[in-house]
Amino acid sequence: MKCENKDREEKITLYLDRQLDWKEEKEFLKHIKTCPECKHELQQAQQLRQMLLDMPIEPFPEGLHESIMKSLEKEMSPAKKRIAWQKYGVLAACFLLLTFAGKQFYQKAEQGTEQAVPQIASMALEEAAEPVGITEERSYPTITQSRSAGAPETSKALPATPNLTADSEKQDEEEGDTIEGDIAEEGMEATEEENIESGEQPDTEKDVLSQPVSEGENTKEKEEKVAEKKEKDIESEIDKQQSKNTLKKSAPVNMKSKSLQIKLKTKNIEKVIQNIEKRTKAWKGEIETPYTQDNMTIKVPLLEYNDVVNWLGQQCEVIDKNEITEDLAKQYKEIQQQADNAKEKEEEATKKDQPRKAQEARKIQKDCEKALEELQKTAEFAVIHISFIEV
Amino acid sequence: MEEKKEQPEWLKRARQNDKNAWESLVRENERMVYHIAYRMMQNEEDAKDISQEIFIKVYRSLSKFDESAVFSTWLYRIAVNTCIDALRKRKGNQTISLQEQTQKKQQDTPEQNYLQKEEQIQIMQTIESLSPEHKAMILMRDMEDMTYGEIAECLSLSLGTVKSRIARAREQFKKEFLAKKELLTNNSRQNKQASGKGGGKI
Repeated sequence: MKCENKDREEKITLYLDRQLDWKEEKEFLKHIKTCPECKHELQQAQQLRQMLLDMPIEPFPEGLHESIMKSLEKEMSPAKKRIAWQKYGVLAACFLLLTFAGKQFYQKAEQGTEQAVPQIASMALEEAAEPVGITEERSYPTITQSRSAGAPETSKALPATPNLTADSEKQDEEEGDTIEGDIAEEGMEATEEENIESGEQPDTEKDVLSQPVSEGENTKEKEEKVAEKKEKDIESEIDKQQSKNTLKKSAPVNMKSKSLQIKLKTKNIEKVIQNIEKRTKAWKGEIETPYTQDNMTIKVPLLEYNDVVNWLGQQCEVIDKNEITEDLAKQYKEIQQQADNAKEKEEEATKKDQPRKAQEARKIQKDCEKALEELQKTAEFAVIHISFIEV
Repeated sequence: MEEKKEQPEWLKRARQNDKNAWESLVRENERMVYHIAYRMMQNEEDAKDISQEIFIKVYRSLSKFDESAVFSTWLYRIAVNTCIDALRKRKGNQTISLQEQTQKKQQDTPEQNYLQKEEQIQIMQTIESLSPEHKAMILMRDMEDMTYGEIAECLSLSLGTVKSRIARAREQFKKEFLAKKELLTNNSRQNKQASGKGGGKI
């Protein structure tokens, strides 16, 4: 019979990596016993994983250390830094030029409108509407022409113009909303380019090389452009990674375990227990210890805790209540630290070709990971010990 | 407050552009970097180039390294992401010939290890056919035995995303691997049959 378990692959992979919670694991193992198809899949997955783990480590090529050091020395050389500063100088000059040009256009546009206003004022309303449109329309082509004549050239010569044009666009907007057309389009193109570069499939080198080269621009300059563009890509990507990293690191570890001891007075224990059992299922919790000798223990998701306590209060009379909250953050951090140390040890051992030590360290890491998961589970659930008194 | 991790002694000096410290930084980490690069790029030449690129990236961004992080994790992240980018760029412009490499390896293989080596080559070819993202998952989880948490931190992904990506990557890997194996078995069967017939005629 064909197995109809749709997320079989994911379940198998999670089971293999011990990522299923105990309930899911129990269900999975139960299913495996009765489903030969899944059993076979699991065995296959285990074999493949072992094969991948056993892949030999390739030898480190001779001379690579020297090549890496050479390329780093090139990076460190003062000449390289000087070139970088020169490039920034050129960029700054272009920025100023564009800002100046932007202002000029704005002034021209404003003058055009101002000239039109007195005429408009003297005209009848129906007639006035038309000339305004014409004057404005006339003022745009001048702006667009001179702008588009200059800007693309700079964008050709400087791979970093997207930023500049975007900036000048912003400035233009601040000064007045009159300048549109090609200027805005340039800004849009620039932003789009940036998005593409920072997105899924960047092909920066090709982009720069495929751009038309202005007269007199030699191959050296072209190479410089490629290098500059690459540099920028690397930097922006690292920035992105860094910011993600910082966000992740700054997430606080706020873990607490909650347990409650509650004494309830009721006329009909049996009925209450039945209700508690039903409700626990609905809360996605579990019965940790079934009812024996007037006591029972349930485990409920922390999110439901308050509701559970309120509900118990509605069902029976609460005689006594004792809540204990324990901070798990310190414990969590300690285990995390242990895992980090083990990881460092493992890396050291790998580098020194000591596979046994590396394996030991890996085992510690695994144990730590397991302990962390357990701790997380503890923090996700609240334990409620209930004792009953029948009236 | 963020705790500062105990960092290797060369790290601080490397930040001050000390050449000797950079020598130590590279020596300490070059094997790991090359290892990642080789397994991701699947050929020596590309792995060498990428290793250099990774260290240049590290040099340019070391000033931004957050001291509450683990340096090797940070380096691992740069390495894996650089490889993923390089693979994306290389897409459709495959210059390496894995065929040549595997042929060379097969020639070098001693007879007693032949089967095992063949299986390894098959694994390499299968990994080669995966997408950069799936490749990274197989490398990190199944070859490096990294935990889900480490992978999530390294690639700045949520644990849920890592779980589903690993499952998808393994599914893809299995599919490709079994297809290759079947093809290989069929070919050898056909060869045997052909040689058997030929023998009969002679």
